[in-house]
Amino acid sequence: MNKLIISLFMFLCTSSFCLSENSTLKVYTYDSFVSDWGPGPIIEKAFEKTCNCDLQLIGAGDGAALLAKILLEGNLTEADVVLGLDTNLITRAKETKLFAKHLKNADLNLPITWNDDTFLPFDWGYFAFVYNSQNIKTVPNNFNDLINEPNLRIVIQDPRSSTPGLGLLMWIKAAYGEESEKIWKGLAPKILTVTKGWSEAYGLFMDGEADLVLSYTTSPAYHIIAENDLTKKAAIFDEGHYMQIEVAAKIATTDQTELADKFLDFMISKKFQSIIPTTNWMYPVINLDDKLDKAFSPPIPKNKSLFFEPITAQKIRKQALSEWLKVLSK
Amino acid sequence: MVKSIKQINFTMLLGWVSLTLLTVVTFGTLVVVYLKSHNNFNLSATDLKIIKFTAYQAVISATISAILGIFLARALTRKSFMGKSILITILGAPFILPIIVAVLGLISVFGRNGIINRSLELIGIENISIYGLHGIIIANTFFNLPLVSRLLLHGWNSIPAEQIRLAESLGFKKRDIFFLIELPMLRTRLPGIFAVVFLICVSSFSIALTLGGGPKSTTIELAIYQAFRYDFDLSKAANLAVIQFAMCFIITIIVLWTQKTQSFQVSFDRVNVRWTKKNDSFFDWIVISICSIFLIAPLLIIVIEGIFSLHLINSIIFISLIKSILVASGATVLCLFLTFSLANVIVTHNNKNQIKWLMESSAYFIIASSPLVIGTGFFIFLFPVINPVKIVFPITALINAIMAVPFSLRIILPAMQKINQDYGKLSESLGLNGYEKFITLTLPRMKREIGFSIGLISALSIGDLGVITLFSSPQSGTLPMTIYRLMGSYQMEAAKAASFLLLLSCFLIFFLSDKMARSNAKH
Repeated sequence: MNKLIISLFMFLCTSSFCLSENSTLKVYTYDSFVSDWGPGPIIEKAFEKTCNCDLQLIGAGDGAALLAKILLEGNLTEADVVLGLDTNLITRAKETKLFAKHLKNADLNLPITWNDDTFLPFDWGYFAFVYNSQNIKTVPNNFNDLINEPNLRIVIQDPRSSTPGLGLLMWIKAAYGEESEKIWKGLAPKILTVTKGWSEAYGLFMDGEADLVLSYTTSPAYHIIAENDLTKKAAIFDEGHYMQIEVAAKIATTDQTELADKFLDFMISKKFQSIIPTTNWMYPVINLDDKLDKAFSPPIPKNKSLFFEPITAQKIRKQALSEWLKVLSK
Repeated sequence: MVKSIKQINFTMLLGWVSLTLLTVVTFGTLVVVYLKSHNNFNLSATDLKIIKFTAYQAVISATISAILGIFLARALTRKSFMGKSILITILGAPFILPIIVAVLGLISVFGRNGIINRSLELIGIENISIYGLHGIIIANTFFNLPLVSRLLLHGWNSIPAEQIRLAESLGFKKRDIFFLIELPMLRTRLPGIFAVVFLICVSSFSIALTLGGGPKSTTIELAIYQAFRYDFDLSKAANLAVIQFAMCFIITIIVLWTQKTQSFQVSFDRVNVRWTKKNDSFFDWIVISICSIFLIAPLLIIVIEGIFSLHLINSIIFISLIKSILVASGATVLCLFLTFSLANVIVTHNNKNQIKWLMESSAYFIIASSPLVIGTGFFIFLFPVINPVKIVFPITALINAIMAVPFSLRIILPAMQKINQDYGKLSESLGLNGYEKFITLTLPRMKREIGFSIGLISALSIGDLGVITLFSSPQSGTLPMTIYRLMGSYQMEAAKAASFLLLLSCFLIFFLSDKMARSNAKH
């Protein structure tokens, strides 16, 4: 009798397994997320264990280009979930009405209270310039040092295609307000090149093409943990650091609503969150107790943390962008 | 008689169908784009800078290519050495070389860790950057120096030996020969060549995409791409597309006008022996060596490093190669259909001259249109109906086919005209006309030209990185697109392996179709 029940059970299992095997969840994300060394491969395996589905993580450029990609595909998009925008893009993304509300009450551990009804955060960090301590003698302590230090070559990302690039616009606006143009004018001659995404920029830095790269305060942790390399450091600026919160949301027209919801739940679960720090090299959005490696620098103190609410960021974005274009095209 | 009229009409019908397709794709998409931008056509200060930069980099690139080209062609004319014919053949390679492959090679040579900068570092000179204006100019020169040299070499070879002999018997010095014989040749040829190179540089999208990008080094075509892929601002893309077309249209008129009097075919059958005598100029050797190294080193690096990274070729790279081959096959078939449909009308001598002129000139005016503009038009037109991402491969094949028509027509038309001259009267008296004449008389006599066209069109199409960048959905794309992605995610070794594969397929297809046609063309 028991055998019958077990075999019946197994039969049901396999048939349901077969059924849900057919369902595929397509998640558009940024390139470095799906790279071999990024969180993608591990996340995919972990989620597929619980969902009996095929999770396809698809790299579509850097964060900001990701939004344009969704706009380009519109209602006809194949994506079910978009993962990798940030708070600076949330308002613009919501205006398109292409994203669905998440209806979740998540217990998050963020420096700010989260109350967006469409996007859910999956990690966060602070933008910073990363340098190789073997090549740089005097470490810049602020943007003015960066401007005044001769012979520095900086590589940054395009704010139109990349969220770190956009983050730098916001950072300088938050720190200098009206005087942001002056800072950009000073930075312009130092900028070796503007790349489309974070991966290219970091690649150029690692290849020795640039002295400093726009990245995160948590980037050195990668070199310490993964490569046992203590030479890469983040320059801490006395103006403070702009905070990035990376988010994801469900596409409104998805035919995989349940699976998409399941993925968003998984995204803020302990499993996913414990993968993030040592693969995406960002802070987790929930409390992992003391599972965070010591190589991670403690978060920037509150009074040095810069941030614009999504609506404010959207208002600033256009003006800051045209200012950037004007200065850098000279 | 009734039958032959029907056949003539069939020829005409195909001609009109092709003409319509060409016009719809090139001008029709432009109209769509213009209507989209019409509401708010304005130019910001940034747009003006982009236009200026586009013209600026093209002028500099064309000037450098022209100057170096003059020196190289002159040196090649006056020197004879082992491997000269191989070198001249290599000079033709960049025409079918996929731009993305060359760019990757140039980065390996001129990048911060490249040979040039490492040696500069040893001497203590500051690095040059391959990104931005410098890189764009280097890449443009890489592609256009060979073109200029080949065309000028043809010019030098066209100077009759009698002229040189006469000059020598009159006791002309080198200087006199230059001013009285060589300079007039340059004066008639150079403006046309310069215009062609300028046009190529204005619309060199892939070079700007891979080496430019920052606001300081953005060309119009790149800005169209950015408006599309970064901001999804269709009206801005449309604005820029109108400007790009206007600019290219004007240059094309200049190009066609300057070329009216000269043939543009490339042939090197005759090497003028006179030039190679009594020449001890060491300078010529320097020019030949530097230019050869400049043109060969980037490719050599791709080949060597590519071979050593072949194990990195994965299923994604392989699938994208197959997609590329399919796109190229589609483009080749369509392009040949269009070319022959137009050429049949043009060579039929009882057709009205106006119609012939219309067919021929509209085919040549295709070089004014930009794939990015056409792509934008397609997108605006199709977006409400179907996700353009889903039909990206047919669109790419269609655009590649149309962009190749001017080249294949240049190859096919003269041959067809000659056949018509030789056999036209005879076939007419035999009542051989239209379709039947085409199959039994024309085609069998054109195997060489057809083979050359097939090789050229498929090589151009297989390495194209243009319109595909607008639509391609993530993780699907042609091989050039995959290489671009690999470079973007900084997997340089895999990119080099894929580049080697692309290079190999490109030249293999070109030489195989050319060779097969040649060996078949024994009649």
